[in-house]
Amino acid sequence: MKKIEWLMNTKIWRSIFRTKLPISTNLDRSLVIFNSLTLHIHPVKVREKAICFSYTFYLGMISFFLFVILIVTGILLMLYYQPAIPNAYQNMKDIQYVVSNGTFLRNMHRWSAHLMVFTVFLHMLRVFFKGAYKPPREFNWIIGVILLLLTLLLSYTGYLLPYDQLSYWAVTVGANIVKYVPFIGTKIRFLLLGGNQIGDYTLVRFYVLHCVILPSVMLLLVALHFWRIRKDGGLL
Amino acid sequence: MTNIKKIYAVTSILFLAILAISPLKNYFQEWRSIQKNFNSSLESYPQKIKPVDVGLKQIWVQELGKIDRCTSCHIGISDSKLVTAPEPFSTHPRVFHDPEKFGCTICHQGQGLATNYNDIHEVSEFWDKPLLPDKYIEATCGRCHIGQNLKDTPNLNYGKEIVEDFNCVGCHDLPGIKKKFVPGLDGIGSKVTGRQWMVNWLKNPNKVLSKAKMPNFLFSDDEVNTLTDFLMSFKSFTGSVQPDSIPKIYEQRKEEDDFINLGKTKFREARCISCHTVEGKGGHLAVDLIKVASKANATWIYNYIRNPKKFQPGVAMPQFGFSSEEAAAITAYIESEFVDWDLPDEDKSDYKHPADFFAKGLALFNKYNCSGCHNLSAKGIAVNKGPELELIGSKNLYQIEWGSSSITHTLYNFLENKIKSPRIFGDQTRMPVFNLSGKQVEAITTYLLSLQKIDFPFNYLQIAPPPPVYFPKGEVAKIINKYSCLQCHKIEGTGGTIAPDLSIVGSQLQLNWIKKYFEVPYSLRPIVEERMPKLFISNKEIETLLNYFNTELLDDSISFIEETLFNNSNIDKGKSLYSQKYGCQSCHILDGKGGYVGPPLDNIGDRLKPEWIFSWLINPQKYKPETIEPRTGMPEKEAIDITRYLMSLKKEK
Repeated sequence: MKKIEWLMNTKIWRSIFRTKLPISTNLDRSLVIFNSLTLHIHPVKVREKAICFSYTFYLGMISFFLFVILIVTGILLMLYYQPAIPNAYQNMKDIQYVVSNGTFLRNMHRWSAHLMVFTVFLHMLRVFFKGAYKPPREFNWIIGVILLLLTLLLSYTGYLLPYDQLSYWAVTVGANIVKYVPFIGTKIRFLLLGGNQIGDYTLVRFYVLHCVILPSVMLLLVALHFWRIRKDGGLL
Repeated sequence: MTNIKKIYAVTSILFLAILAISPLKNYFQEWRSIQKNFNSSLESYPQKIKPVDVGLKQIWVQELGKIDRCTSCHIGISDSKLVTAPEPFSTHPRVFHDPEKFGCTICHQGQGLATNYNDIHEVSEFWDKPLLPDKYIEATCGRCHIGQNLKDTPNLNYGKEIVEDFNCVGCHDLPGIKKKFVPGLDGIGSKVTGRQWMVNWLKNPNKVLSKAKMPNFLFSDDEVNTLTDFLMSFKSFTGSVQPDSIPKIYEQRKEEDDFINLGKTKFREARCISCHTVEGKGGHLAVDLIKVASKANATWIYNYIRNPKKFQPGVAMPQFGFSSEEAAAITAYIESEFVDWDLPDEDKSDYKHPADFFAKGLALFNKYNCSGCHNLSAKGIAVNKGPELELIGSKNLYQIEWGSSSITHTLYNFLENKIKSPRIFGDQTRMPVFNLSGKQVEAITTYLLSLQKIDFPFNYLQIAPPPPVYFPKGEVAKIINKYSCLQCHKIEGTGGTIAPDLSIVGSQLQLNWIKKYFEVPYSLRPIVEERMPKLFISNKEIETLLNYFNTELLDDSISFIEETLFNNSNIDKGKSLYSQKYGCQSCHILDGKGGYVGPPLDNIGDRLKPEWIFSWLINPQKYKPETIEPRTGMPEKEAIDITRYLMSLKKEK
């Protein structure tokens, strides 16, 4: 114990953690929470009821951790993948057959994605039935809806990347739906596909959307979403 | 609290255990144990074989975009010491292309990237081109070797031949396949004896003639009747030529035995059965004549014998030089013998056409694209082809309509079943049923599978140059066309392959011999089935042809042998060289002794020119690359001696 105390009093420790030692009062305890990026996600005082499983079913956090898994496995998959024709399909086969634990990696990514759509949706249902969208949480509800949309878009853009029959036709159908937007439908379709039909540029566009643009927006909004939970009065 | 900790501990351990499955599966892969098996079985081989480094092996052919991991298990494909080894270690039977430079899947297809048995060898949903069964393997030869007719791809060549023979291009676009001659239908109403024959024919051509080329369209009875009415209404011939009326002698004497026998003699003399089949005997080049008198009427037969090209321009049959009396006699012979006795007598009097038969018949004619094969001069005939097959071998599986069939979804299964029973994938399809054997279906499938997109660098392509086109001119052209010489003989790359190439015939044969040969043609090689027919060709025509042979169809490289050298040569020495040093009698017959491989050499001195014999002896392959006569490298002196000896073998000495 003494050694730990000594460690926590070193200059290096103190430069990293802002908390002043020793912790003796409730204010000190509160400061630990306030001063930490990761801990201040919870309020200083949490009612036992609020962390009970049946209260939230942890759906928000499960979604978030699935998102973290997706980022980690996604980055690993990016190491083996080229968004080009016909390399894309070949790369996927390579991941399946010759990359160490490649099948596991790909399955993790895929199943986490499926599961994430599922949990995000359940999370929304839970919030809806608890009435947690009511003021002052209405803005956070909107962010949540956008996050659901982003989740779906991430799934959809990821679907093209193996570049097999299934993905090809899914994107063909999707792009044709976009065409029905009044006035600018064909323009959007052109923008999305990077041409008039699915090809190399579509693959690159979907790749950039899937790996850069959508996840960045998602991360920002998730941060905002969490912050608003605190500011709007905690879990409900 | 302790309870939660316990749960936490247990789930953590469980989770770790589950995580361990992946690396374990990664390590215990099929190929690793197969390689270890190989290494442990090495001692059982007589020769010393190097063990393999355990690890995934692959062939990467950058130019072709191929990565094939087949060699991970097929370890010994290029090691000749492993011929007797069990699969998958044994040597590749015969390698046409170095696997290191071409990979495996370029020929065998299949998922070369995969590393487990099922995904490579079996049909998978995730790979459009599964491993090709051995019976179709030549298809992939045809991807690069286009139109080359290689001797190692008999199946592929045969498939192409059948496709040409059955005139598939009538309905399907196919690259490099010429449309075949099919009889036109103008004047069909004046040719056929009656409705009944036509009805039977349309119902099932194969029932009427066992080797009919026309497929069975599976018409309903209504359709058959409508089409028959429609076709029988075409009475006038192409270009409105009129048939010659049959000479009076025919009507007077057609029942007389003498007259019929004259016809029979001429029929034999002309060797009609060289091409036509009669009662299962004879050639297969032309129609079976056994029931021809029940099909066509006497006037038509008479006219056709006089000049086949009058009604059917482009037909292969030569125009024999029969006199009108001889032709009438042959007609009488045909009318008396070649009759279908089972055909019921037809009541022609009270048949009435339905009112709209023409429009309905035309619609049927167009629906089944009859004009794809048969010419018919009528208004409103439309081309209504089937699908293009130029790139059928690259067809994607999702583009195929499978109907309600329960066939494993692969392209080769589709093609094979489609050819075998064309309506299997839906009743609304139009393709008729061809009379094909299982071997033929396989060959056609192989050929069709070879028609693929070129998705590899062009320098891999091996395209046969287009054959040179030979155009004779003037009088000679008329004669060659009249007697259809090029149906069997080839001249400068154009023509058939049944009979000898005549491109340098003027340098090869003695004119007197050719002249006699036209009188009584015979087969030089006893084992060859097809005989040259007697064409009843006139002397003037023979003269013209001989002049042409002797001035045009020559080989410049064949030079005269110096007379002094020839005269100084030694017949006896030639004879001993023939029988002893070179042992020619092992292939050639002379005086009733010798082998059957080459042509007999009796009276060869009457037939061949000495320069030709000499040049041939020196280098046979120069003139006929595929000949099996060996190039012995004999010195010129000896060649001259043998030539002198062979030239002494004459009928009259």
